[in-house]
Amino acid sequence: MTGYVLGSFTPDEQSELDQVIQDAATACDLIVAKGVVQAMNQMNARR
Amino acid sequence: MTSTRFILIAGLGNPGNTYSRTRHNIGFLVVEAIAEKAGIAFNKTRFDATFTRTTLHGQEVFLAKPLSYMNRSGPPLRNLTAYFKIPATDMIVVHDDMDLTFGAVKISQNRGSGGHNGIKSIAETFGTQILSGYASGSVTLIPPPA
Repeated sequence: MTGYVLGSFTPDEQSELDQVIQDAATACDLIVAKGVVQAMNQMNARR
Repeated sequence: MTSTRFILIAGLGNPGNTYSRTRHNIGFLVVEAIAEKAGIAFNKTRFDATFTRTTLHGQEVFLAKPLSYMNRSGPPLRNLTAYFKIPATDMIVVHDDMDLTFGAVKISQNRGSGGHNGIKSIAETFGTQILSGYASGSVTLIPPPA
């Protein structure tokens, strides 16, 4: 398990990585802008 | 006289090039992306963390990366929050999460460590205060290996 989390991204993951990072940055932005409860309601319903 | 409120967005990871593009470093990658979008660099290093300051939606925000290795993430964050007088409840922690499917982003609050060594260190360092109300941004990835 340790090797897995410390491992590099697979090519499939790599292709999604920029979007994942952007989504997570958006989540942080929402928490700052709207507070954690509203951010959770908006973000956690997405996927 | 009013004092400025700060929020700390802490991305967890391990320092060094060896780990820079690994699953465990997603927290670093996210705060780096926020800084890049804001046009700023991590230009301060203190308390075993590198950090910078910006404004998001009119709110003063620190972005930080602990440099102490994942399983010792708590002490640098405790020292930063103490120095800048940031309540633990105003800290957002960005980290990988083995319980989520790759690509999923979830915001959670009042959660345990889920076996994550960085969160475990933060919980141990901050005590129950952090578990009872931090504005955690729990991010992303990593299904367990098949």
